[in-house]
Amino acid sequence: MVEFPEQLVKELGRCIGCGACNIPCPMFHVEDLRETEGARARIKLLSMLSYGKIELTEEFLSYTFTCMNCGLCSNFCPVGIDVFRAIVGSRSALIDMGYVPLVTVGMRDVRRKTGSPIGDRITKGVWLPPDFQPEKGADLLFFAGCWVHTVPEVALAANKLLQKISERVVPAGTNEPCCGGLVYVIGEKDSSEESRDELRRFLADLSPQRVVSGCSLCANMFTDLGMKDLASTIEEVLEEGKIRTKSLKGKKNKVFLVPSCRSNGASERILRSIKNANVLEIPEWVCCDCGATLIYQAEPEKFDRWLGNLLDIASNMDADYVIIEEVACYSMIYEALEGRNKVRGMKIISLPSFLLDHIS
Amino acid sequence: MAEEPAVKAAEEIASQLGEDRVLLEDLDRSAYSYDASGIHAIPSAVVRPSDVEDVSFIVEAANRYGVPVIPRGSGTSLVAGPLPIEGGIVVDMQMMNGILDRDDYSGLIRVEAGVKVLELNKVFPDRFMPINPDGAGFSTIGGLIAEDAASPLSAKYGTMKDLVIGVEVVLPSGEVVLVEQPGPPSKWNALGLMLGSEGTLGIFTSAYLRLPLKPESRRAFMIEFSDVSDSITVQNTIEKEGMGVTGFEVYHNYREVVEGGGTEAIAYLELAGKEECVDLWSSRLSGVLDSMEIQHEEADLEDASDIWIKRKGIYEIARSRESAIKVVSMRVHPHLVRDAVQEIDRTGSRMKLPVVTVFDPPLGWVMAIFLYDPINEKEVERTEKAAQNVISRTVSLGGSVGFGTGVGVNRITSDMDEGFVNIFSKVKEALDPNWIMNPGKLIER
Repeated sequence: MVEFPEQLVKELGRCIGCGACNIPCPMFHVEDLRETEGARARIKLLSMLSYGKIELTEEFLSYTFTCMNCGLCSNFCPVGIDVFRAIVGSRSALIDMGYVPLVTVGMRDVRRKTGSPIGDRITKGVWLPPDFQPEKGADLLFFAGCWVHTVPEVALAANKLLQKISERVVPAGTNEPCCGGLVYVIGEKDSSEESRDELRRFLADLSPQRVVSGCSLCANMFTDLGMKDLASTIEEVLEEGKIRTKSLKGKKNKVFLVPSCRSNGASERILRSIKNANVLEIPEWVCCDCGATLIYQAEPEKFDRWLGNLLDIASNMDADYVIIEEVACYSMIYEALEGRNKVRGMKIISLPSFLLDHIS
Repeated sequence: MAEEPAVKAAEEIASQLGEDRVLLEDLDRSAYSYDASGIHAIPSAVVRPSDVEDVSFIVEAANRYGVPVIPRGSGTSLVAGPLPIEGGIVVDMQMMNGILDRDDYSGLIRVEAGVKVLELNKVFPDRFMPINPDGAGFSTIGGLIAEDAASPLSAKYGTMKDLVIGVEVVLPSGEVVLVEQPGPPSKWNALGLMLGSEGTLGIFTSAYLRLPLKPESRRAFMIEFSDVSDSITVQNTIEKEGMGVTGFEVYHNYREVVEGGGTEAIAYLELAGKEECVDLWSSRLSGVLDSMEIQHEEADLEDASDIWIKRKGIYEIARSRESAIKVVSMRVHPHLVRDAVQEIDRTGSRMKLPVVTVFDPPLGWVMAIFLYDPINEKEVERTEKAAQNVISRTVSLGGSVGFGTGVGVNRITSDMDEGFVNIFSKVKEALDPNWIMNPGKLIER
């Protein structure tokens, strides 16, 4: 029988089964509202596992570790259970007991070898000069995030965008460590802590005035790192009046935003401040960030269904632009669409690239 | 291990609906083994229809194999309504979620049974669904009709059955029947038989509803009662003077349990209607409360909505002590509310469980909410005993169980209501001679 820590068993057992956490759950919606796929089932089945009412099988183990990792479920629980934290805590507990699904073993090993859980698919800093070294004491250090290195044009756009708000923007460069966000959500807490320690040392050595993260998972999940996500930074400077948004020209103005799952709403507010931009209302469950990596790698057909569903909704709303806030999400979608940036008449674009044209 | 006839029925259903619509894996079956009641029962199979023909095929096949069929909406029942407590096939209605027809002027709307409250509320901005028992709007219309759900706003808008003009229902034989009148119900009809039958007479596949308009003006009050009897006196005054009350809900022991001490009970009361009327009623209500020396103040309308619509008060109880909760829902004649509250208090003390009693004086609706530690086995056991004790004490007071939530596994026995059990059993035998429709709920065989 699986023995979870007592506090975790209690937290799982507190679930009243109302199903509110299924409302924003992307997997629940994409898989035709099948109960098994929703956040409530994950909590309830983990609770049943902790009471020995169901057995831990290979299938169940893999199921526990694969969701979009958006964390939206926690915002919807009426009795205050941090649903996502309970799921992540269960993954950690299972790992501690030696129950580790292959996909997470793979990510852990890749991180050990390359410094990033997706290190086998990226070449860091291809968008930078070959001999680039970040200078110390920069006004603004641009922490790009692992995934951005697969889409150099987005890295460049984000860097240029930041140059509009600071004269001394310094990219973190090829030695930029992973923040540990992705390995954290898959329950590898030791590995995650190692990553964060490394990043702390890296940032302390460079001692910048401020750090802007292209990866909003890192900035918003580990607030102690002192990083701010790109959209929040841009919004702050817009409010100060140092930059302003430009009008969206032409009749094609319907904007479908795919926000970061850890968004504080800054990306949407920025887009709404763009004159002539018609920002469409999106369903509660639409968001994406680096946390989706696991499902993207382990169950690509599910990721494809999620993407197909998303594009269907945007297309049914006659969207002209699908704007993706998170660079990790953009990279995965870019790969899944095999580099196409126009689908069913809609332009698929990253938030930094879009803002670069609409901020002066 | 799934039962053989059920698996055969499921395989036949899979050959008609498609294999992706029939779930037989352990993981899937376990995911349909719970709801909000705290009870667990694993189905032999789960089937997922997408239209009424699918439902008809499923029910007819199950009937032929003598396998129970249990309709399920979102699984938010507090009384195990969608759980296969006698085994069988769970019919997940969530894929039937289309808005079939609507009329913006009249507020009439025809929806498939799997439409959720939150989806329905997006249809007409000026109208609303006053019944939202789970707070989040996740419950399906089919489930709410089956259980004849209520909310604090039922004081004005009635229970779910009062919003329904018609239903399409698949009978245990697989026959599809439209139970609907062309105009508003004006004579004896069959709707009353089907609404609130808890899935024991058939499966609702669509419903025709009329959603009420939002009131022109609203004003809410927060009241502190040092004696719950005063809330009944206030209710009597409201009735005598014809005040337009949309919701009046009292939380006995709330301050004690949630805040660690304070007034015996707090209450929210909302008046709604034409602005002049609301002004007049508000001033009169304040006068009555002043004369009884009852502390009160005008409440934020958002706070009141959180109580009515999001059920914030009830969830706050569970949140405050990081406990699990067990809800027992009953109805008594309003003048007996105080006795019911006392019985619940006594039960809480005897079983050493904190308890908050939520009651609605206009309806005589009483909900006992016991708090317990889910990892303390003895406490879990005591909670179940407490729930059963409260039910039997309420019945001895002349009350009934299941108002607003459905009766479900608590079941009405001849001791509770002989006439109902007699008549309903005969109807059940006539429509469902094999007792395949949601057995073990509402009444015993």
